Amino acid sequence: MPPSKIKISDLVQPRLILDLPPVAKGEAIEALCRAVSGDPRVLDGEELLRAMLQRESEASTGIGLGLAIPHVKIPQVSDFILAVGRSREGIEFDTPDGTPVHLIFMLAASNRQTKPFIHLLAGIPQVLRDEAVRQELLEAGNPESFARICGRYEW
Amino acid sequence: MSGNNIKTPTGMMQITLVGRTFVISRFTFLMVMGGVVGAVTALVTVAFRLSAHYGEHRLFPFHGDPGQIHVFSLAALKRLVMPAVGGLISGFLLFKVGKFKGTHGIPAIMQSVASGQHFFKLRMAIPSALATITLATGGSAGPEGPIAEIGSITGSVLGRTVKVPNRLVKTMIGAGVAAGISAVFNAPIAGIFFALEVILRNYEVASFTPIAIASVVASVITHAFLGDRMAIVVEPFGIPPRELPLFALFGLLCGLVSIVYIRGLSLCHHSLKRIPMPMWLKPALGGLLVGLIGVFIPHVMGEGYDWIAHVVARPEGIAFLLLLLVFKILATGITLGSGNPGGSFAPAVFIGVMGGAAFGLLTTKAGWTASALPYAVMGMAGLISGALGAPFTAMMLTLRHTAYRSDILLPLMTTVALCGFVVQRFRSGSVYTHDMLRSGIDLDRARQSDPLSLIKVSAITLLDHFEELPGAMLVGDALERCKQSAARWFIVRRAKGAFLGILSLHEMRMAISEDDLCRLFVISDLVDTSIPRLHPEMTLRDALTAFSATDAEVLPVFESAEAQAPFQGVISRQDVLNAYNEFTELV
Repeated sequence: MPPSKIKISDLVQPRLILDLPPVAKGEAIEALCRAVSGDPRVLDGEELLRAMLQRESEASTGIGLGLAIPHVKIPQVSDFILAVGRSREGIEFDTPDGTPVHLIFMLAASNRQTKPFIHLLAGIPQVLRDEAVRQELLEAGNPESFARICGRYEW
Repeated sequence: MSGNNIKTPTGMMQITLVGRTFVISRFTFLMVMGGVVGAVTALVTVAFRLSAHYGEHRLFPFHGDPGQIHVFSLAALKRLVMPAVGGLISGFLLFKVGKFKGTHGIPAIMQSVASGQHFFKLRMAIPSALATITLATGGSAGPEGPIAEIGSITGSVLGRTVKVPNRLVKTMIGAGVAAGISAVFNAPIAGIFFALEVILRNYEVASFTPIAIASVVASVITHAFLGDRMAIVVEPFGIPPRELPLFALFGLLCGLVSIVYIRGLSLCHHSLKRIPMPMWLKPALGGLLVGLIGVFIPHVMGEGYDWIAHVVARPEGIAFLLLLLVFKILATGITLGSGNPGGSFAPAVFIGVMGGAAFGLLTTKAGWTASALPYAVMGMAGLISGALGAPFTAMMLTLRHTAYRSDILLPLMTTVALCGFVVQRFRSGSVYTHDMLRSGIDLDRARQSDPLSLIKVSAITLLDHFEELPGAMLVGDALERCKQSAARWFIVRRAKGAFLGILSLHEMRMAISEDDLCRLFVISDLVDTSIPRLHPEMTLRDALTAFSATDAEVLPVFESAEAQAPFQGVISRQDVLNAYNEFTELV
């Protein structure tokens, strides 16, 4: 399989960018799963939620710097789909640096997309390691401007 | 001459023996090895014959009248129970202790030879050796197949011991088979032809000499131990030329009976396979069914040569002979189909002689012929030709039993040719190749076009070289653990142990380019869970097709095609290509 041409910036859709209240991480993941469950790429929303929570129970996807990247690849998803959660107050996510999470990029993929899946996931922290970018995304006034900011980067 | 860096002149070859390397003429070497393989195989054959014979007589002492066939002298209860006891013992040893799976016997040897897999393990001889139990306890089977198999394994093991090139091991396998058949029938020429036409499936001149030497040596040694005895003594007979059309008709009928025998064995095998019970108990069930037949018709038990000799000496009772023909097919199908080790050669001879004698009696009654004996003998030839796919063996064996009388040649050739024609016309293969054809493996066609369709996945499945990792393990932790390991691949399992996928250390490193990703990914994130699954009975052609649908370097092999089948090992793309290259270099 050749490397995927798909980029995170292509996957960010304003309708799938949510502002989250200060909730537990399970509830945050559930809210993001509910947001994508009506999309035709998600064949079984309940299974997606179950798999996300299962994956999270194995090891936290909070990587520090106020960032979490929950992810799964399962047969019940037909193609890549990304949902973003934003929390100005922060959500406890069991991160290595102990800080709450402000940006959640939740990525789901088909189980046939292993290599591009890894490629996409690896690109997220590369861009968001820059504090100025994170700050810009947190301060974006609405989902459309959030998506526009994402579109400026090759990730 | 010793050392490992000898430059080998043309026509010479290197062999390694007791740690030393020698340069020897290839021709001389093959001659010597042919003799060695013949001698060893003959000694094994003698041991096999004596253990089957003494096993039968020690376990079930003879209490009959002088001249009476041994099995007839036994009480009905003994006849009922003894094949079941034999089946229980061999089933336990074969499947419970030995953990044998898949095919063995002549078909497995044929397939291995045709696909260039010439190195057999000594362990493969165990089912053949256990055939002594089947024969000693009255199972309907023959010793020829197991002995030929032991011969082929002897050739392969000796070849490997002196580290001869793979393509020469093939000749040594043929030598072993020829020696086995030569020893068991006291018929050296038939042995040569059986090896050439059934196992090697070609008539290469280069193979002939070592195979002939093996056959002669085996015959001499067996003669020394067991005497110059023939299983069937045939009184001299003549055949008037006017009976030739009758032999043409008889040949066609032999072809039909061969097809019934071939398909009957296959039907019994597949029917018994479907019975839901442990594999190791099935031989006992088969034995019990054969015993049940034996209570009423003991003639069909065991090798049957005593009864064959009786019929050849005094053919009588058309209906009874036909009854024996039908029940011998059934008893053999049950014996072999239930997993009892044994061969199908002797039963083919039995069926041919019974059918031939019945036909001969019928035509004698009609006044078309003077004696039933020639038809009984030609029936043997017909079934060997038709059911075993061995026309030259059939002719040589028949000539051997008739003191090489030239006046039987035309009826013999007519019977053998027309019998073979009918079997080929209905595309039945032989008792050895029928199930292969059913599963899409045509040895002759595959040799020319697609060698990968001959090799089973099980032949190159790696059962080690890997370790297991839990899917929930962080990649960083897994990388640390893998650094300490010599394994090439890592089998990833879910929390409850279910198979998830395969990863190599290289794939793990390639996926994780940044250190901070080591804490983002768990192993299950990296695993491709959609890769195709293989099972041991698939061919390397299937495996290559599966590889073409993925970029995985290895694919998992499971014990069967069922979704819940346990994981068994892995097969690599490179090993599939290596197997193909090895084969094309050989052919």
